[in-house]
Amino acid sequence: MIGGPFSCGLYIHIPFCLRKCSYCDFVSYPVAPFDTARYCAAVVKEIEMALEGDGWPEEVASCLAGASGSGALTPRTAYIGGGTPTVLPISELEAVVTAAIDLCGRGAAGSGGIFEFTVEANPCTLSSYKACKLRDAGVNRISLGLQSTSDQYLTILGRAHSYSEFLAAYRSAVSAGFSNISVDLIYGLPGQTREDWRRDLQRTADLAPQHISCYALTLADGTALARSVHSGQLPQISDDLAADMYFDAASILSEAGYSHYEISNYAKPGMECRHNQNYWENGYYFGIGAAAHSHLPGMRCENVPDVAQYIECVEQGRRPLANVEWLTPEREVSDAFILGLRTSRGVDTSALAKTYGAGLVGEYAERLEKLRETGLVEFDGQRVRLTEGGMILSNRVMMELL
Amino acid sequence: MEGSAIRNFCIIAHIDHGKSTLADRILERTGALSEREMTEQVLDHMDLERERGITIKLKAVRLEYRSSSGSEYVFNLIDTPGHVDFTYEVSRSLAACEGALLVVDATQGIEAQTLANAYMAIEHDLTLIPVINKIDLPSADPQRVKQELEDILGIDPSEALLISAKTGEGVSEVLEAIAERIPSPSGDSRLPTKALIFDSHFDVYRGTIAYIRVVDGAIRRGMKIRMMASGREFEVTEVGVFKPSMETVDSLVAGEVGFVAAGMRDVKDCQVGDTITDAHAPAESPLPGYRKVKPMVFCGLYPSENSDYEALRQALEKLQLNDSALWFVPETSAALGFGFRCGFLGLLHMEVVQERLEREYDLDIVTTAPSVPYQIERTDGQVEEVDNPAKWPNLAHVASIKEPFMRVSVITPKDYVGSVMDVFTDKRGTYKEMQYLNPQRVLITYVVPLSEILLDFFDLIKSRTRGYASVDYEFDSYKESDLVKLDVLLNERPVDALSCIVHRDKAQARGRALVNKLRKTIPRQLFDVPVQAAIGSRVIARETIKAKRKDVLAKCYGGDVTRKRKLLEKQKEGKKRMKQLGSIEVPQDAFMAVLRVDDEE
Repeated sequence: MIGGPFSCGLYIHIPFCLRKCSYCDFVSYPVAPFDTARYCAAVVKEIEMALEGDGWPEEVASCLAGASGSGALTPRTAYIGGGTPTVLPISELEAVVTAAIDLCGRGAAGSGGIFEFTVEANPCTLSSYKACKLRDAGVNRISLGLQSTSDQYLTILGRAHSYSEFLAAYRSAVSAGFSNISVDLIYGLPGQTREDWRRDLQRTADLAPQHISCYALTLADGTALARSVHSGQLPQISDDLAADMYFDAASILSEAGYSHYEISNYAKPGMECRHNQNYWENGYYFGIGAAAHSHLPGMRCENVPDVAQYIECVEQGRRPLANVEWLTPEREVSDAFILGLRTSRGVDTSALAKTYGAGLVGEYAERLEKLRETGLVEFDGQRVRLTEGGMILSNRVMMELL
Repeated sequence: MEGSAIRNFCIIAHIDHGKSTLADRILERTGALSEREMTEQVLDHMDLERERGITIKLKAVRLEYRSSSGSEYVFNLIDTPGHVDFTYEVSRSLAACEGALLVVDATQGIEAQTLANAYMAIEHDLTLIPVINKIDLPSADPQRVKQELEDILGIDPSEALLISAKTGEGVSEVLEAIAERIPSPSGDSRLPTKALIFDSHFDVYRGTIAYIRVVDGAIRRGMKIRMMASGREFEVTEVGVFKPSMETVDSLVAGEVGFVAAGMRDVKDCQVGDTITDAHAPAESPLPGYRKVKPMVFCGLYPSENSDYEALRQALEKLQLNDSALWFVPETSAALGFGFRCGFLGLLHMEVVQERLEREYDLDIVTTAPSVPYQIERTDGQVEEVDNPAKWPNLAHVASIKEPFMRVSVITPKDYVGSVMDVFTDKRGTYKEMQYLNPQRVLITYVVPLSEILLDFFDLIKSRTRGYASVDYEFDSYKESDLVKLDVLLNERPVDALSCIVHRDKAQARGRALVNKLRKTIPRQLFDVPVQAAIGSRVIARETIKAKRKDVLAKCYGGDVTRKRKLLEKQKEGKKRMKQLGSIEVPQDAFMAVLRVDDEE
């Protein structure tokens, strides 16, 4: 097992889908009209530019220049998400994977390159052939969006697949040799009962994937699903029921040998998603592709969401940035708290003090103590973490730590 | 100015019958303002007034008019407040006039305030010129309105002028009628000076500017004047007229309308209704009709942020300079901290002040539910007035409690008579009379406790009559009632700012409705919060605000950090606007919940 701090990640955004799901408010476009090959070529070029420090502010560029020595900004994990990465022709996706592995390995003298490489897959776009090709290219983790084991709710969610199609895709991934598979589920769906949800959990646990994500449905403004619920076409969702379902997940999955290591994430021992853990540890990452976000020393930034504009920028050798946010040490500490508290490990306050200064971290002591009295937060030596009940009320805690 | 050429008049009307539009046309036709200068409805010059379509502070304008026969006239148009809360101010404006244009909407006919205003004008012996407005509208029925004027007010239908203030049709005839029908003022400039103050406003440089009608004698610059009610004396620094901008003149003589500045720094120096006289040659007696304005509706105003207390005090002081009817004293609430007990003429007056504080002074304020002044007689014979439920006495030492009752008139289409009477009965009303204005419309009069009117009376009348009824009311008398104090407890602790006074028979229902409303208004906390209504130590209603169980951002990955942070920041903003009562967060509008308990019934 590879331990230690996960200092840097590489995220690649593929903003294309067969069609948009009813609950989705991520940046994604129907794939049909786009020249995906040209997009993938731009992605490869952007990885190269980003890792070599082209167009970054001085502070980031100097870190990258020194990377061969420290490896601080050499990605060790990669994640291709979307959208639906597997909507791409496999040759294009393969090329992106290969380039990412080559480029990260190249800059990381002696540091071992990428050890966890995840690709998100939609059940109806993952064939055995594609799965094998991805495995061969160096992908070692697949994240499959199941969402529900009931076709009725899959229809409400606007998913393009059935439960049986998911099972076929899952088998394809297993037979292609994947031994680290994650399955996404959503609960709190309009009309969903606890029995429905417990069946989803039981069926998924019986498949025994290495990792399961359970998300409470969020009705995002502007989505088709939100409109259906607000107009009364679909029933309202009760927070109390969703809370019951949260605890159902915690108990059924822990029974099945999964540990609840983040608000919405469960893993078999040692199979936590390293790439995502880096986000929650407030680590650095490069976001590649349209609408992708990066966190680098002193800054968070965001690429342009428009595909054509993105391609044009990169082809002309410019960084496709839409927005840069400069981070103060105060802001970094606050981010470290609100991200780190999402996980069962919590936040290591003394490590944080070492990085950003004891003064800044000390300012949180009084607030944390007050929060502890509410029972939402607990201390364990130098670590602060949310209690099991605190996780589902985490906004109450995080609001105080902004 | 030759007194015989002066015409002092006002325009009276029910809300939205077109008073301000007609005033605009008159200003245009007399050349006081060119059409280009004319912003819509010049006389209502506060934003708030324009938005609500009502006139709160009156104004006076001097106009020059040449009649069709070639005679020159001076018209003094005195605008009157259009809302029932300002009845006293209206009466003082009427007292400054010899005539009134009674404007009635040709599509609506006589409404409650048409009647109230017309009766008041008749009481002041004014010559009424009936003006039927909006005849350009397809649904106009001037014949019916003429009939109503004759049947109800005894006005000769042949006197009515048919106009459209909007198109200007008939406005010339109105101007001619003002010149021909309204008598010139009858005062004598050789008699000792008597001038009626009918309004005032505060000017930072000149102090309080009194709007006056000189009845007898004259007022000149440099003259020493005396306020007959307060006894205060001042030297006149400026005398002038509104054309409509302020223009200085040497003097104002009997019959004229204008303004006086005399270095008056305190609103109390210059009370509406008071009489100004010559300090060296005073009149024997003041003009009739002066009374001290008495607030009838009270509420607590608290700054949301305790640090805004001083800013709130200064804002109230500034508002008071132009609004002598506004009353306030500091008060402290265990729940809300430091604030002010404020008194108003009525509900609308209260709302206007609250809105001005928020809009013009940018203050975020918490308002407690309004209350009325109760007269409490103790067993030892002492009588005190209590306007704050928090100061309710121990009933063991109380001989009697009286509350203010209003005489309320509603004019409604006959189909809604039953519904209107149901509302009155529900509001503890006592039937007085019912009169058919015509076969279709009925005037119903009840005497009702003011505290019940404050609740939701107007909304109920409006909804039960589909907006077809009009309402007017005036103070009737204090009467004894069986009243109790209803306390509210949150998490077992009483919240003083939520207490209210209710009739014993209604306490149970109100208590239940109130806790139910609070359960819906107060967001779920991290623990169960019992909400109780109690009379003394007896709990009469109870609800529980169940603990919040889910408040989470399900997903947060690399792309979401900034976006999720913004969501949390927004949530934190919302929390900041709540009042912290112990460990419970209460939204500001919960304190008004007492008022709106009947919303959902």
